[in-house]
Amino acid sequence: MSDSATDRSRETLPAAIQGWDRFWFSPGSTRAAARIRAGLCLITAIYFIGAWGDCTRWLAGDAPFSVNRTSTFLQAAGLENDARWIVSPLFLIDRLFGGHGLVYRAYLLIGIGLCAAVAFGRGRQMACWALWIVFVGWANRLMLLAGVTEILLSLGLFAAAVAPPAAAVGSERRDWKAGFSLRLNAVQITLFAACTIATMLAGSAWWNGLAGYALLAPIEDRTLGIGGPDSIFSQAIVYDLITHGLVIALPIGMLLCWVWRRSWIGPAIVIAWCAVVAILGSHWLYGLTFACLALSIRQDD
Amino acid sequence: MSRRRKPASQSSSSTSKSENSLPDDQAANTDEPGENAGPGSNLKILLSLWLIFHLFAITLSYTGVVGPSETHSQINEALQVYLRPAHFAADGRPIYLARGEASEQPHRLQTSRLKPLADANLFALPIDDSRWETVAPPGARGLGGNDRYHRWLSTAATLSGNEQPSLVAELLLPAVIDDTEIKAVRIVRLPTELTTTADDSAAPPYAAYVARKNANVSLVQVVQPRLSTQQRGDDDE
Repeated sequence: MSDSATDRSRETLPAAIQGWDRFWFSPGSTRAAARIRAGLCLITAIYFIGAWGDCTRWLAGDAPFSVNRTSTFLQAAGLENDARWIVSPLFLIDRLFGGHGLVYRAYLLIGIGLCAAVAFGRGRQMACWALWIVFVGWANRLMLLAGVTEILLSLGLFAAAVAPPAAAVGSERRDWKAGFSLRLNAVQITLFAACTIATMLAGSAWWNGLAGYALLAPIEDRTLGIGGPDSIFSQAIVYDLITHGLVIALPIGMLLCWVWRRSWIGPAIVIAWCAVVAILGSHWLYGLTFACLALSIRQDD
Repeated sequence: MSRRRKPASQSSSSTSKSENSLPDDQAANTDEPGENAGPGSNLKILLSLWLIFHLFAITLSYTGVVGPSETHSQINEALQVYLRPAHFAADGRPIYLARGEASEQPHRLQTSRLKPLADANLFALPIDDSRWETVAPPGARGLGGNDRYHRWLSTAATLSGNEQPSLVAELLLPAVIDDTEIKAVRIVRLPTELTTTADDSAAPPYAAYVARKNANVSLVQVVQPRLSTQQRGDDDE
């Protein structure tokens, strides 16, 4: 079929398919994609640096989640089938080098190096994909120890790897892969936010006002010394308002991000939501990742 | 529409395949050097199919963290081959942030070097009892190390609640195996502003003696004496 015939046939496509085509495959700003990716690289680097101190405690030698112990645990729990798709190069590397702590630290160093290279637009496309693979390898190796932040970072780094390599402050160029990367991140975080709200509302704590307090509750694991029996947060009206505010602010913020894609109102509400969650629940990396991904919804041109 | 199609029909005679679908401002820029306007139609179809699958799979995984139906679970299970290698799967992780459940309370591992320690002392409160040393979580609060410590112990406590002592032992043994002085170990839940006095006086979710024989080390879980039994014993005296 000739090009002109292809174009004619495309013109006859239903509006919905044309809209889909326009949304996903129109060119986007490489600089905007690079900014999101640089933000994710910074968060991932902080994550890897944070893992430096305790990686040997969990993974090396005869630690609770060493390869041998994990294997025994999965066998005893009858979870071998469930775990067969949790793959990581670290399982193989661990077997080859005997689970030495240095192996895990070297892996983290490689991850940190890749974060720096990708953030500055170095290392071509391969470095972007390598960073995602290294991160997923780490998160899968952690297995039971991995939390929600790892899921968000994996989604974000994956989508960010699609965009062509570019520095966040480099020259502007338009590329369909940059647009695809930005929109994939935007849709992923929107779906994630929708699922977050849906699952929050499945629990009574987000209806009866206690969830805001529950988020704050673990005193010993809290970064900031807020809360306590005499604090303002222990008053019913305060934690009720925080709870209901968190439930309402996220969908409104995400909606405004999409409706006014050039405005900062929507992103500001989502960033405020992330800040409240981060401060109250000490979910710092989660809050940073969520906010960074939400910024990908903004119109990039 | 006619304005939108004009630049597309011009470029279709050259090399570009998809400008006809671009918005006005973007389509107008497609002749700029260095611009990569869009993929070929076959790649578009493939990517579109993947997108539908990918977005469906992650949505199903994230909505499945709260009581999924049997069908939902079965589809989720079938999707694990795609979701798990990429670490996209929720796998029951709490994306809802908080529920006020016991598993969200801070957990601590405590060890005792005293010998002999009576069964009742394994459950002795308060938590900062001098007979017990607390193993502190690593790293700064609210960052990865602290979270990993919490997930380690809350998993062990949950398994203990499900009467799986051998699995709990698998998780905890490495923490006590090298220190031959440790005679007993337990997991405690720290009180929070949300917990009631009754919650705070509840027994630790897991307590065990460390049994050492030659090179073998094992944990022997001690089940908390039932309160009703305790009461009758007191009455008998």
